[in-house]
Amino acid sequence: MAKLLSMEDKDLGTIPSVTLRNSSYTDLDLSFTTKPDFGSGLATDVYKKFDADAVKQSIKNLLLTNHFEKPFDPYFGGNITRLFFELADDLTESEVEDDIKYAIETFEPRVEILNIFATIDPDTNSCTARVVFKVISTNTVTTLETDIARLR
Amino acid sequence: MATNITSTELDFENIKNSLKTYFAQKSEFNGYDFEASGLNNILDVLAYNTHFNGLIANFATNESFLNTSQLRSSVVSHAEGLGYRPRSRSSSKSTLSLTLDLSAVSSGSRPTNITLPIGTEFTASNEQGQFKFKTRVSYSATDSGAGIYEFLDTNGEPNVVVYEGQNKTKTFYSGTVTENQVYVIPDETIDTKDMSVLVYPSPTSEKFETYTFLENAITVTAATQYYDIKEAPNGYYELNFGDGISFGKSPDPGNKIVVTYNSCNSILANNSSGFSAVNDLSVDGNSYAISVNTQILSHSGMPREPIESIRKLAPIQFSAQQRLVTSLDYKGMIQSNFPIVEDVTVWGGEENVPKDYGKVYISIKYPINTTQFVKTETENSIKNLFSDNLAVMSIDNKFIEPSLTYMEIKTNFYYNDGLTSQSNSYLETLIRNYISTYFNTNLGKFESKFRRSPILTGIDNIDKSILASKMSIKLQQRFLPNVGISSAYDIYFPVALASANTNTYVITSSRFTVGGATCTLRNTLGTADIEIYNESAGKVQTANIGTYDYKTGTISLVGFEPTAIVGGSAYIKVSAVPLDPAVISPLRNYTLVLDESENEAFGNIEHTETKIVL
Repeated sequence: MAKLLSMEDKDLGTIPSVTLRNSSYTDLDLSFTTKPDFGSGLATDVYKKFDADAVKQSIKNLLLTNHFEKPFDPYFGGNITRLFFELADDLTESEVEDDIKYAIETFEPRVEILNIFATIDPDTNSCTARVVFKVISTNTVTTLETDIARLR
Repeated sequence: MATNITSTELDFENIKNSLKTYFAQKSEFNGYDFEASGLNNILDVLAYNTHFNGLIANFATNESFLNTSQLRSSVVSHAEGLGYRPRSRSSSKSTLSLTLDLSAVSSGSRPTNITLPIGTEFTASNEQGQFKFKTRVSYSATDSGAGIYEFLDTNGEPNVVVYEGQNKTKTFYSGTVTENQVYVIPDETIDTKDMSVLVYPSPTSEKFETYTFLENAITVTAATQYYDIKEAPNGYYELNFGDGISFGKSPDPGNKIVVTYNSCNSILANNSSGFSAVNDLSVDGNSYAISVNTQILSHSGMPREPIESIRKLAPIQFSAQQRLVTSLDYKGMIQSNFPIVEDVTVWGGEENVPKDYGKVYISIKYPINTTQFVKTETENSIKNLFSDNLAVMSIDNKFIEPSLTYMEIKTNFYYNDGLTSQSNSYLETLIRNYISTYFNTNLGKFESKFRRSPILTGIDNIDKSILASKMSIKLQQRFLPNVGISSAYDIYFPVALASANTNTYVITSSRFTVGGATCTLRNTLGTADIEIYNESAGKVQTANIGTYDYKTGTISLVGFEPTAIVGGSAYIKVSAVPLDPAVISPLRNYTLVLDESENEAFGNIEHTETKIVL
């Protein structure tokens, strides 16, 4: 969260403005890749994600989760892959978009959705989802594009 | 900064919230509270792990104690530690009268005795199907003189007891000498009361040694041949022998162990009838049909002892230490050895009314439709097999029938008719049914108490429109008078009664006639005297026909001579107001039941005034 110091706090002049801003959102990078040790041989920390990147990772995680996957929260997730087990028709893309919209509005209060595009490829039983959203706290507009496909 | 994470919660959400609280105190990660974030997913895993570990610890701790164990294997194991052996299935049994007709054989050619061998098979059936029964001991019969042979038991009675089930055999070979070899019989249908264990020196040997059940052993030495059978954790049965050193003989390596046991259908075979012998009996090379007369339907078949029974009886039997001294000792012994007994209560003669020193009073509740023969047989077994051997010398048993004390309930309730669409009579029926169900569920057993306030609470919760309720209670005893004969009667109530007052009658009764006039019994207002009230004439017919003692709850009638009983029943109901209607604790052999004809409910509408008075 940002530390907003004011003139009344009387220390605005003594602290460099670059240090006044903390990241709004911090999360672990789910790739769990470690930072380079630059030859020191010492163990290093995993990468983190900040702000819009952290939110983007969260939305991707949300869309790729199906119902009943999260313990004790059965209706968490976009639950999009269920549509891949039905025949694709003209309404499927619209259904995917609705599901994505519902999931983000329900579980990700940090963003405002600007646009959602879903493209179904019936031949490969897959879907490409493109979500344009704005991180509310920072007004950063970001686009997430992800492919969702049946495993079998 | 506090960094403690509460880890004693069992609920997943609480654990996760505890982890979130921890992260809330840290500034390094602040996306933890959004359900889709990576960190939140890791919190899920951590909380899930803690949740299951917590549950496993909880389950494991519960299973460590007899009182809290849920698994049968745990309860059986704890009981074993107390020296208690949970009951296996019990075979259904019946008593038959068997005769063999050899009248066609000349008297000189007839044998003096005929023996009915062990294992003679019979069939019988009930609505569940056909079942096989067999004898466990041999019976002998002698010639009546006319060629009729009736098989008698050791008491000289024509009672041939047959048990349901069929013999099964399991063979083991004793392995190399190791510590405590266990032989598992993979069968849950064993009746452990009927099994034999024979040990052969080699697989081809015809000679064998018979091992006896440990429960029947009097002394055990290194050479004693005994076996022990107990329920295994998986529900099967384990056969054990002595250690071969100091506590019983152990089969040698290479010995063949042949176990023959009775596999029974327990309760399914009860109430079987139509017994007939499977095979004719061979006498001197000729076969003769066995004539069967069923004395009683098969009975006493029971499933394995349920968990709650083991939980209750194991500590009692442990404290009894194979002796019958206290009332609990008797209860434990009877309930653990006689599965047909539904409930039992025991009290000493010094607590009886009237006092009877040197006696142990036992009252047993049997299932409905239990015949007198079965009751007598059970009581004789209690005496012969247990109390004669285990009880204190010179103490005798006295079996008393359970005594029912009826309760008359009048319920008044107040309800808001704006909160329900149901009629007054519908609510009254609901309440009557509730009371009836409450009695069926909670009362009717020995020592079960009636408590008024839980019923009233339950009534208030039946419907949201019911705002308040109250209940008046009377106890009722029934007695069979000698109609037309002047007699004295003592009527006992299980609790103290209310003392006489000048406003209401403590004692009342149902109607009877005296010389054509319809009368009732009641106490004279303000006194403990009982009078006969002539309802037809509206006056006292006979004053001072007896008295009642409110402290002991006893009504004594002298010279009472009704001509007939009104209503067609053979008994007169005598009702009394108890001293404390809030709690009725019946003593001794009394059990409380509801008189359904006196279960009344009256609804009253409680109007709520909303007018504002200025």
